[in-house]
Amino acid sequence: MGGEYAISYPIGIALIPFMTFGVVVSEWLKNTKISVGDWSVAAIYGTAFTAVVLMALDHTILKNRITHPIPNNALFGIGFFLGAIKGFVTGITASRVLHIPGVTFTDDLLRALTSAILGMFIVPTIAFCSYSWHRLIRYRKFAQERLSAIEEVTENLINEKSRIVFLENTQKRLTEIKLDFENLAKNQKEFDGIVLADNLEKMARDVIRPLSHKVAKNRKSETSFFAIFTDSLKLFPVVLRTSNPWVLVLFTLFSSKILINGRGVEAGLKIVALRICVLAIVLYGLSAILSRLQVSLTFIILICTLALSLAPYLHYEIYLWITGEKAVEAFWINFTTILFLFLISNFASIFSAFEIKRNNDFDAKYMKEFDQVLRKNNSNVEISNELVRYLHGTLQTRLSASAFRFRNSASNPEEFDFEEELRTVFSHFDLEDSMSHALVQEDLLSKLNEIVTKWDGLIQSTSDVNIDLSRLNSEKVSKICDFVNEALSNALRHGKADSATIEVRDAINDVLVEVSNNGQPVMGKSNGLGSALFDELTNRRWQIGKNPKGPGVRVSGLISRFS
Amino acid sequence: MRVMLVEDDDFTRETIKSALVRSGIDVVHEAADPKSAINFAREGSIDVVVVDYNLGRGPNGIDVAQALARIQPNLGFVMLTGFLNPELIQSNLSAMPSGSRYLLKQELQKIETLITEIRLAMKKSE
Repeated sequence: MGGEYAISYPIGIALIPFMTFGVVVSEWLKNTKISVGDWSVAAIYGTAFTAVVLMALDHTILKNRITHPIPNNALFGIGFFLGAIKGFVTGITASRVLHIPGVTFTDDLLRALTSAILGMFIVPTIAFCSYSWHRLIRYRKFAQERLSAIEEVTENLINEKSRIVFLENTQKRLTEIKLDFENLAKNQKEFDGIVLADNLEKMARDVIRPLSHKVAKNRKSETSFFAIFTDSLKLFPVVLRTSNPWVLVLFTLFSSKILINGRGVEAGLKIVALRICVLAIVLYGLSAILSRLQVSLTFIILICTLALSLAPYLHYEIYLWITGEKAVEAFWINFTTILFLFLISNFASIFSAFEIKRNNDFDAKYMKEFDQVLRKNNSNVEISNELVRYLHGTLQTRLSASAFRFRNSASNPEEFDFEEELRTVFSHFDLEDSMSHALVQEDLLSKLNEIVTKWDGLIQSTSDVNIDLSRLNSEKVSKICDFVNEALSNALRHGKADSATIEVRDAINDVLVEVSNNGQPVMGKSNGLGSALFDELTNRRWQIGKNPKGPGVRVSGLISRFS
Repeated sequence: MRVMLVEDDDFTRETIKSALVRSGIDVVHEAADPKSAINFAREGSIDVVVVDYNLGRGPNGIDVAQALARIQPNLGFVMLTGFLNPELIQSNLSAMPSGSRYLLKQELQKIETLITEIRLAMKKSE
């Protein structure tokens, strides 16, 4: 955070009106008879001077921050320094240049101090937001590339019912790539391992990337600011709880200065205390609502707007009750302040959320879109899953391995047979052998047996399936297997279990899946990829607790037969 | 230095194994699935495990590493991963045994790169 993102000019520019006219508002609340024009000029000078100092720092002491990041804690010091400068220059301009009456040198020092304290919080918060915003973009870009690649190979899902035809179409595309490489190899007078390796590595990276201009264009249009911003809003329910303390702390700092200056210590503190209580109730109520409901983006925006309007309205009523004054301007200032702090703190919390393992919730939300793309046509869900696994995993790995062999061919020239290696490369593109098992639609029992076999050695599992298999389509089978696999993974990682029992039963319109293990107990549902994945698979109808049939833990979920 | 290789793809496993052997590394076992790796770890002595993150359906490389670490706590690990941005699986990476090394497959162009990571993993396990 003390590197590339320590200073963010776009966020800084967006804050300029707030930083500048916040001073004017603060002075006006102290004395409504002030010259707003003079104070605006003083505030503008203070902000402009601070901006110049910041740019000078950026080009001198901090110019190497990208390659040699400064410590995160240094951001507090920088914020303190810049805040002090801003406050001091604003005060000096007001008193010595514009000769605004009533402004003393002591006032200038106090202004510098309070501004320094505010700066100490604002600069790291801006760095937090900048860092989290860019990480958001990077994750999003990577997830978008994956989605685009998957859409590229699965676009035939919409029209093709036949698994075999679907595979044939994909094979045709891979054959085109193979022929390109074949031509490259044939055009070489002497085989050059390095050139062949470079091309294979490029192919390993690009074989599942968008192959058509259409997909590439779509990918570009998805990186608009609006698209990223709305996507990040979807994360608010995830991060609200961690951002609320930030909002409350920053709101306390902002309001205290203004109200104590304007209303005196006793009344000011009373108003601040009541406002904080109200704001805390609103914010935590908001996070409780959003965390319990599966909500759309529209609902998130609507309820946030309602909550953030309710808080300043109640603040207005508190102000009226204590002071007897109707401060309509204060309502709008309050609304703007709360909204600003809310947005900035939540974006900062998105960064914290990444660092505290909640980035998987973000990834899981994109995985939800991933699943929706894949599940457009139920009959082809499994084959597209298999195909994507092959392309993403096996084919890329094999091409990388072949590239490695070509690149290192010079170390054992006598043993290295270029023709044979080229034939091996061409065979990687042959789906028939690699994907033959995917042509057979396996039932639940076969897939569960496969999972049990794979986990054998790590967790000894038994399965007991008592369900009408004829009513299960491939999508439901896939969901059941994903649930079981994730439960076993959590049992090993978190519970340190070494044995598990898998039970699958009918439950009227649902399938009940229960995975019991002999691992250590867990403290309820935790946020992490496992929880998010279970939520997706069961539409939040799952639970984890003590195993009722013995020691250990049981996780159970209901998977609907119909959705 | 005794190395076990855990990689489900036969071609990739054979490629890495032969390159390591040619470089003088003792590959004591190559495992195509988690069970084979676990069974060997129960009986054989290993210094470092080179494990692929993606082992197909079922447990992934991290699960296998954790299970192996319970059997031989002083093992070093080098995880091969195909993720362009390993931070996307950052929370999973932190679940690897302490001292584990990570290597992007795309960066594995010379065997010396892998050998360096193996040596670093061994150092951390000592």
